[in-house]
Amino acid sequence: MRKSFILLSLVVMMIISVSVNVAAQSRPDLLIWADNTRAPALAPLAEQFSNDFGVTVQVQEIGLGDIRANLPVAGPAGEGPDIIVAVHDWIGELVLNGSVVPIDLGDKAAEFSEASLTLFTYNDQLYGMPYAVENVAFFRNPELVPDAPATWDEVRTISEALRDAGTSEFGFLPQGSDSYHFFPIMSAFGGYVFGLDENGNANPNDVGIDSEGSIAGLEWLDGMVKAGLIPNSLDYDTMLSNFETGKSAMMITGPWALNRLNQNGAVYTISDIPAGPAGQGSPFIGGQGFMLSAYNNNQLLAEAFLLDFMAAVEPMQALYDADPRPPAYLPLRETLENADLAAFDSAGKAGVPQPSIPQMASVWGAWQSGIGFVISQELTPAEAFGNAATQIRDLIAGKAPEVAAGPVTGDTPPADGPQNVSIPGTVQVPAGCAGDWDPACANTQLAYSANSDVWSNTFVLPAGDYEYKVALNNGWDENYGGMADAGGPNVVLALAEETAVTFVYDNKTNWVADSVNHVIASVPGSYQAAIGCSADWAPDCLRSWLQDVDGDGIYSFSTTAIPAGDYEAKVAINQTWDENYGENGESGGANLKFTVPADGTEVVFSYDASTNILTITSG
Amino acid sequence: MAAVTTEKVYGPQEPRSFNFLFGIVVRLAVLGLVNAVAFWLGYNLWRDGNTALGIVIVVIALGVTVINLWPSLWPLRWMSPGLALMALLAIYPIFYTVYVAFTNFSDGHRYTKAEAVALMSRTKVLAEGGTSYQWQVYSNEAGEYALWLTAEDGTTLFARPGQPVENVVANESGEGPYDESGAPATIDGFSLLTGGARFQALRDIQTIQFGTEEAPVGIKSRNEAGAFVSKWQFDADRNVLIDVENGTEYIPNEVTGDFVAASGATAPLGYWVPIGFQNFTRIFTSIAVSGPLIRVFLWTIAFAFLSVITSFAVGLMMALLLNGSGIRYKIIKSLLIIPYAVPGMISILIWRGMLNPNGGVITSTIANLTGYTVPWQTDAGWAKAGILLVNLWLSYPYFMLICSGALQSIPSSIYEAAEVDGANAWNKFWSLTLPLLLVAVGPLLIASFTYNFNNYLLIEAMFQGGPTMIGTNAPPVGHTDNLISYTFRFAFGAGGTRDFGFASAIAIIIFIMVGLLTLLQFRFTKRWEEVGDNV
Repeated sequence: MRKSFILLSLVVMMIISVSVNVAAQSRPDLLIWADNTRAPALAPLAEQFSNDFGVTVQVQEIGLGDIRANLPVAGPAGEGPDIIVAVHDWIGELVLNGSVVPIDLGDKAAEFSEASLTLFTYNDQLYGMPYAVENVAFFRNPELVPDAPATWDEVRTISEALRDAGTSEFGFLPQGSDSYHFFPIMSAFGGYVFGLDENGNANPNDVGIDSEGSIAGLEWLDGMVKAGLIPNSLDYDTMLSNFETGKSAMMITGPWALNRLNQNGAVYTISDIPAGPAGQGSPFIGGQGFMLSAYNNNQLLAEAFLLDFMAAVEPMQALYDADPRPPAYLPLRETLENADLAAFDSAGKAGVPQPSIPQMASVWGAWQSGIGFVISQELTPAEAFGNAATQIRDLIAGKAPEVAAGPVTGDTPPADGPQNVSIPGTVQVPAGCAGDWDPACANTQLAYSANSDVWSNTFVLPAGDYEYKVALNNGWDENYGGMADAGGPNVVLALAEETAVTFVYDNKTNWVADSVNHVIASVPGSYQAAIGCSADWAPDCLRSWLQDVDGDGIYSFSTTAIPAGDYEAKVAINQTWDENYGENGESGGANLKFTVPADGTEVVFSYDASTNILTITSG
Repeated sequence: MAAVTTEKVYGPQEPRSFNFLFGIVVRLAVLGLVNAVAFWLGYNLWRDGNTALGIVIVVIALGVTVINLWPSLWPLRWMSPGLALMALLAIYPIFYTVYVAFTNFSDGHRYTKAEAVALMSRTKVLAEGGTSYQWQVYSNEAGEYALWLTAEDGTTLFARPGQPVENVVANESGEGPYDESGAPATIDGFSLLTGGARFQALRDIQTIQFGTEEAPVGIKSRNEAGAFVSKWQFDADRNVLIDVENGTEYIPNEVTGDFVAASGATAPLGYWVPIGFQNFTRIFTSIAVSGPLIRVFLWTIAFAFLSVITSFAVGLMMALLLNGSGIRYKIIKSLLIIPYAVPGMISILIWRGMLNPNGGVITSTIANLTGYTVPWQTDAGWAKAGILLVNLWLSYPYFMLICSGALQSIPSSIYEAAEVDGANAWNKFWSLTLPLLLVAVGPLLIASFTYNFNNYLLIEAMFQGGPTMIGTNAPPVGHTDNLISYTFRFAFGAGGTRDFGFASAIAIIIFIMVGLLTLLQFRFTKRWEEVGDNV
C-alpha cells in the first residue's frame, strides 16, 4: 500500500510541476538590460513603445559591470536580454565569447558622429548603436589661472608660481596614479599604449608603455613630485575637493565631475589638453551605446526598436537628461548649446579611441602601478614603466612569468644529456652578466623544452657586434662553435638595431643557431604528435626543427618515427604561424602532402631558405 | 508497560488517531510541495541546458521523499532537510568545481562544441550568386505575410511564402498607388504594415521563409533580405567546420577546444574540453615559481592569525570588563555590537576615508598631534597595520558576544574554591577563565581563522591589495594581497579574460591548504579540551 502511495504521489507531483511550468512561460517581446543611470530613463520610453505599438518591451536594471559579466551566463540559459546598454571597450571580450552580434545601422548611420561609430567598430564590424561619447579635458580655476596653459612645461611653471606666491597649495593635481587620466599627459610626450597595425587596429604585440615618449611623460610627473608639487595618495575625491576649495588650480577630469563641481559652486573653465614635445595631449575617447545580444530571440524587433524608435531626438534627449554625457546622435547634439560640452568636444578632437581589444585588460593594473611607483618615489620613470611593460607583455603572451634575472626555468632535461646549456660570449654583459665569456652566468642560460627536445632562450640585445659559443654544464669542458664543431670558432652576431635574438641548441646534433644568422624554421604538420610533440600542427614544437649545420642555406631534418600513412605539413618561421610557407614556397600556401609507405621509413624534410621551398622525401 | 518500552519501534505507532492521520496528510502535502518545486526547477534547468544541476535537484528531492516514507530510514527524517541542502549547496558545488578544474572553461571556451557551432551558425552571409534587398512587410486579411523587395538597381519584387518571387511591373501587378519610398500601399490583397502593426509583424517574420525552396528569400536584418545562409556550417560526418564564404575548413582540436584551419587560424568561438592536469601544472609553473607567492602566503597566514588573536583578545577583554548584570553594562554592550551590525562593506569604506592621508580624520589628527602623516596607503607596514586595525574593529564584537555567553557558563563555585586556595585575579584568569573559555570558543577561533584566510572583501575593499610590490612578475602584486585576492587577479583580473578552469584549480589548492591548517588546529584545541576536563 505504501509503495503504491509513493508512486501515486510522484505522479501527482510531476503533473503539478509540468502545469506550473507551462503557466510560467511569459517573457516580454524585448528585454533590455540597463544600469541604474540609464534604466530610469529607458523605462518610460519602453512603456511608451509598448503602449503605442502593442509590443512588450521591458527594462531590467542591472549593475553596469554585471551586464558584461552576466550576459554570457544568462544568455545561453535563455534568461538573457535582447539589448544591452554597454561601454565600447567591452566589445573585445563580448566578441570573444560570441555574446554580441553586429548591427547594421543602414541609412541611420549618417545620424551618428563618426568618432562614435569608430569606437563601436571591432574587426571591421559595427557592434553597437552609440548614444554618448566622452573624454576628459583640462580643468582650471580661472581666478587662479586666467589663461589656459599651452604646454605641460607651462603647467609646471604656473604650479610653482602659485605655490611660491602662496596663492594655492598646489597647482596641477593628477587623479593619483590613475592611468586613464595620465594618458593625456603621456600622449603629449609621444607615449602610447598599443601601436596600430596596418588596418588601424590596436596591435597587442606592440606595447608602448615603455616607449621613449611614455617614459618622458612619466619624467614630467616625476619632476612635479620631486619639486613637491604633487603629494602622495591622491584620488578622485581628494583631487576634486582640493580643486573645489582652491587648494589646487588645475586637473584633468571628465563630464562625470560636472554635476559635483556645480553643486559645490566651484569655478572652472574647461580647455584642451596642454601640449608636449609630441603635440597636443590626447585623451582616450570612450562611448556608451546599445548592443544586440547574440542570444536574443527577436533580433529583428530589437533592431527596429533601436533604429526606428530610439534613434530619434526625443528618446536620446531623455537619455541625455538622465545622465548628461555628450550625445553621439548628431540631430540631438546640434540642438544642445552647452559651453562645457563644446569644450569637451574640442579637447576630444585630439583624442584617440580607447582600445577595446581584450588585451587592454592586461594593461591597466600594471600601468597604474608604474605611475604609482614614481609618485611614491620608489622607482625612476624608466624602471617603473620598464617593469610595467614587461608585466603587460607577459600577461598578453599568457606565459608563465619569468623569474627576473635568475636562472631560466625550463623542463627537467634528460639525465643522460647536459644539465645546463649557456651561451658564453660578448653577449653576456648586455644580458646582465657580471662579465663576458662566463659559461656559468645565470642570465644567459638556455632553457630545455621537453616538448621540443632542444634548448632555447630569447635575449634582447642592443645594436652592436657580438661573438658567442655554446657551452654545456656551466663549464668550458664541452663547447661548440657555429658548425657544431667541438671547441670550434666563435659565432659572430652583428645587430644593426636592438633585437630580440632567440638562441636554440640541439644536443642531438650539437648545433647552435640564432634567429639573426639563421631562420628558426620548423615543419608543423599532421605527423608531429607521432614524433613526440604534444600536438599536431604545432609550429613551436622544435622536434621538427630544420637545421643547417653546414651553413649552406639548406635546412633539413629527418626522422624514422612517423608511422605509415598519409600526412600534410608546412614550414613555419620563428615558431609561429605568422610567417609560413606551403606548396611551391608560397607564403601561406597550400599544405604539402606526403605518404610514409611503411613504419620506420626515413622521412627527410629539406627546406631552402632562399626559395622557401620545402621538399619532403620518404623512403 | 515494560515490555512495550523495551521493544524498539520506529515509525508511527498505534493507535491510529485522528491526529496521526492529520500528521500524515500534512507530511505528504509538504513532501508533495517540495517535490513539485524540485521537479519544476529540474525541468526548467534541463530545458535551459543545465542538465546536471537539474538531475541533482530531482535526485535530492527523491532522496528526501524516500527518507520520509521508508520505514527503516525513519530516524533520518529530521536530518533530511539538512542533508538535502548540504548535498545541493556544498557537495554538488565541490564536485562541479573539481570537474571544471580539469577543463579549459574560460572566456573564449565557454560553450560545448554544439553550443559554439549553434552560436556561430547565427552569422548569416549571402548565398553564392544571391542578391540582397531592402524590404517592407505586408499582410493580407488571412494573416499571411509578404515582402516588398527593392534591389540595389531599383528592381522591385514581391515575395510570398511558398510561391516564386515575382517581378513587379508598375501598374500591371494589381498594386495600389505608390508612396514616397516607392512601395505601394496595397498589392494583390496585401497591405503595407506601418507603426504598431509593423512592429508586431517583425516579431513573427524572422523565421519565415519567403519564395520557394529553390529560390528562398529570408530576412537577415532590418535592412536586408535575400538568400542568406549560415556562414559557419558544421559537417558532422566529416567532423569539420566550414566557412561557407571562402570554403576554409576548420578541424576541431579536441585537445585545445578550438576549430583550427590548416593555416593555423581559429574559428571565432572555441569550446570547452577536458584538459587533464594542465590547470594544476600551470599553478605550479606560473604562480608557484613567481617570487611573491611565498610572501603572499606568509602574509595570508599572519593576517588570519593576527586578526583572530587581536579580535579575540579585545573581545574577551570587553566581555570581562562588562561581565556585570546592571542596565549600564547592557547599554554599553549593545553599543559595542554596532560595528558587527553595520554591513562590513560600509565600515570598510568609512575606515578607508578616515585613514586617507589627505584630510582623513584619523590621519590628520595624528598629524596634528605628532607632526607625522601616517602613510597608510603607500607604506607596506602601515597598510598592513591599517588592515589589521579595521579587521579588529569589524570582528571584536563577535568575540565579545561569544565570550560573554561562555563566561556565564563557568560555575562561580570553582572561583570560590580557587580563592580558598589563595589564587589572585591574575591566577584565576590564566588558570581557570581562559582554559575553560577556550574549550567553548576554540572551534570558533578556528572558524574565524579559516574565514580570515579567505577574506577577500576586506583586502580588496581597503587598498585593492596595494601598495604594489616592486619588481614582481605579472600580474602586479600588492603587499596586502592575500592568497585569494592574488589568485583572483591571476585568474580573472589582469589576464584580460576570465579563466574559470584555472580559478577552480586554485580554489581546490586553497581548499586543501585551509583544510590542512584546520586539521592542525584541531590538534591544538584537543589539548584545550583536555585542560578543560582536568579543571
